[in-house]
Amino acid sequence: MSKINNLKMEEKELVVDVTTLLKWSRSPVGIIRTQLEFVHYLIANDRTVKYFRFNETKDALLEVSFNEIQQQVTHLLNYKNKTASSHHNIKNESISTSIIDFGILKKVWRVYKNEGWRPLAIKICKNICTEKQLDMLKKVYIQLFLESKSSPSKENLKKSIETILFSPEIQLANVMDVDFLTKNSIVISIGLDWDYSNYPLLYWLKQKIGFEFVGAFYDGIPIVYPELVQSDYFSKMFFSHIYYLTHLSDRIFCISDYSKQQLKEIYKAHQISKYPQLKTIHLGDSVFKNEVQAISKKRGHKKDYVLYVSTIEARKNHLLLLKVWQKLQKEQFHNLPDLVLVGMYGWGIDDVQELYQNDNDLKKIIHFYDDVDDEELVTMYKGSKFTVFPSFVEGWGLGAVESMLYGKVCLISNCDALIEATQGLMPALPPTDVDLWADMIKDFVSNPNALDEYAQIIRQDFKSRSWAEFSSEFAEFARGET
Amino acid sequence: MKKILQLSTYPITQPLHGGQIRVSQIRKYFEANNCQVKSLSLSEMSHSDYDPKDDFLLAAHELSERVDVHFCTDFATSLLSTAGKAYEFLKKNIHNYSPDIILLEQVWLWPAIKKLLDGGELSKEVMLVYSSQNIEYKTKRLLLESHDINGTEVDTVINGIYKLEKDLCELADMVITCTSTDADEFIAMGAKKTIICNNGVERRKITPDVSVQLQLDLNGRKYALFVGSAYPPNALGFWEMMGDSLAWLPPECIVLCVGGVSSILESYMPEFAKLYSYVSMDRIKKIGFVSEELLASLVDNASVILLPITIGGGSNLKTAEAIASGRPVVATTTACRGFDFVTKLNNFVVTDDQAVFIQGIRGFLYAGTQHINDIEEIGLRESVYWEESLTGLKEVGLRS
Repeated sequence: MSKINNLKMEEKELVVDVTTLLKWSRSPVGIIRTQLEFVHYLIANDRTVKYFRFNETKDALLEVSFNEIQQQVTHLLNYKNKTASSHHNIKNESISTSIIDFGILKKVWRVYKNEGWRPLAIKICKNICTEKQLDMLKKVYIQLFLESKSSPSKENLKKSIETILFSPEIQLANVMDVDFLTKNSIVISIGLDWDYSNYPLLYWLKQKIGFEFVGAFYDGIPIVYPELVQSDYFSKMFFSHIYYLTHLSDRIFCISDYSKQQLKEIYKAHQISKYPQLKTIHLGDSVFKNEVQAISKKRGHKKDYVLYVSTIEARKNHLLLLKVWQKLQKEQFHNLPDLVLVGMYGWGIDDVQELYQNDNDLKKIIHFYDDVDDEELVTMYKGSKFTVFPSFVEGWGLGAVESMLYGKVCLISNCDALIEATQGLMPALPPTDVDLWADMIKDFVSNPNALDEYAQIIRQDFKSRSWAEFSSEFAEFARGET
Repeated sequence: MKKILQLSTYPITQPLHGGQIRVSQIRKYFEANNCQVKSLSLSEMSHSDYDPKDDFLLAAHELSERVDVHFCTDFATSLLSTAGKAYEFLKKNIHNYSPDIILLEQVWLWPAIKKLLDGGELSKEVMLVYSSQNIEYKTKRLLLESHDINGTEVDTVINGIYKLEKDLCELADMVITCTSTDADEFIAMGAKKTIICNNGVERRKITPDVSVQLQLDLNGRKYALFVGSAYPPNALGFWEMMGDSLAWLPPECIVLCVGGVSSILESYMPEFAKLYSYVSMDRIKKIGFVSEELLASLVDNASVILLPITIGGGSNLKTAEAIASGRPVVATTTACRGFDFVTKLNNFVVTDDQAVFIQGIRGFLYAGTQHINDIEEIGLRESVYWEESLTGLKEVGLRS
């Protein structure tokens, strides 16, 4: 009997961070979709899995009930674009009695560091904390604030090194009691962790408790191509995320061989010789059931059109397409299809807008839509002649795969991840060569056989992968079974 | 009792950076050997600790107006030393003190002394000693090159420093150097006699309470210790040897940066490395100036001491301290100049290869060290204490 108990004690238990899912109130795409499908799979297949989330100030880990996560997953799976989400709001939880309010600690610490503001810091402390909270804060470091008086210079030096070496996350981890985490836990976190998680805190908790950690690497674009992201700040913050992901994780799943290679190159460039086990696990690509069934027509396109579904931002290379259509228009190419660009407006598109606004002819054949709902998108895919995806760099390229799921040929750029995502079946061109793109589009329009050949290839060779397949493979990997 | 006059371009009332410490130790050595010593300086106004009686402060604008090239306030001091109130200050003090020996700590105030000698204001009987810290014209050239500072004005400065050094070498009764390499160079420049006095270190006492508190503050984290002054090559060398980022250091390992270099380290981070600055600056804890007690504890508890300087001459005070500490060291060959015996020491990695440098640090942080009990090695490490390293100075006494 005791043997059985011992064996049971050693069983590993999955504990999944669902902060991102619980915070999400829009259409679940990309990373959110991945996390959603994985949690959906776990809910259906493994009732032993535990779930948790970070609080708003990211200084407490709160267990999430099965019902709560099940409700949110159902909501997101049935989510219809353009509907307001009122289903789930993150509640402002009160300060846990077992956990110190890290937000207060940080704020007071910042104030206290400036000598002139110390009386203010003490006042804040007394005003904002209950006696109980104050007691807890004292356990960490706050008592230093309150007991401090003007000190001799030697004392100041001592204080100064204390201040410099002070790590809120270490202190917090030391006093924190997270009863749903044990050394047999395998913590899985694959959401928008740079925004919603606190990896340093998890790192020190892991040191204390000894659990395993499994993370995700979607792509390293903000680090490898900082010029293609909106701000330096994001790249810096993202590198910090990768740093902690690397040192925190036992295993990391990469969404493509390309992204795995990218991560290895980052490690090499930064002389990180010891890193977690990496495995490529391709994402699922089946579309939502309700998307497939939905055929509503809101915006009719009588003329043939080519479709590009992607956020409109610098990295996605819409400029190339505008130049291609401009060139074909000037050449008076017969039967030039319209170009339909569907996606939210992002950053770095001044040149796209300038070219578009200054060319009235172009406006007649290129259409930007940023208000297409999921149902209409299905219609748009189905009605398109073919699709394009000229992005400079991608971690995977779900958009191109989605096109193939609708049986539509996708003319892609030759970036590695897009070739990998489309299983090497789609025509690929350099993302900067306007002439080559123009020639290929002319060929597809004037020579239907060329397009049909690729469509035939999709029908014969394209292997769709279900999200359940992805989830099952990932769960195995997370458990350390592969 | 011999009367010795030290001349420098910084006060030594509170010796913090390497140059100040060396000058201060030389003074202590002579005082311990029955000499009377007076230390005068023409210093930049940025020094907060000084003796108004012995230190004449020069305004920053005066210096920059004289030589409009970065990092050349010492050479500007040299040019300003021969006129105006600065010259009068030196002349008056030297006249009143009437030294037997003048010890020029670095070359910078030589023009003033030469003017006094040429004008008969100073007896030709006075023994003249050039107490060098490195080959100044070469060090300056490397420093300016490393900051991409060049042009005809730079050439003028470098030539000017070379002429000063050569002139002083030829006329000085002896030249004190930090390394044998420097000695060879000065001989080639016309030095009549050279004495090698490596930089050294004072014996430090560990205060157990300070160490205990340090361990509490560290919370189990291990650290590499980097001690340096706000001398640009310290910061430049650090980034050159530590890589594009410090992401290779796990969260439980940090670099503790002590001394003036703390204040300049971030500003010398290479442009391309700024993308990784959140991680790098999170790994580096800039401690700044610390008490002797704390420094002793920081050295004693370090998993490894870093000596990453890649340009500069002379011998490095920090190297002597690292050798004496017995703690593991990872150093560049430049940092070890003047301490050739370090190749015989255990737990001492010397390399100019960035990857090997990092590997060395990692090894000491993770794997720990081997205990040193070899008598010869202990002897070598003992040789870097000031009382040993400055023994050559007795020749100054014999000749005078």
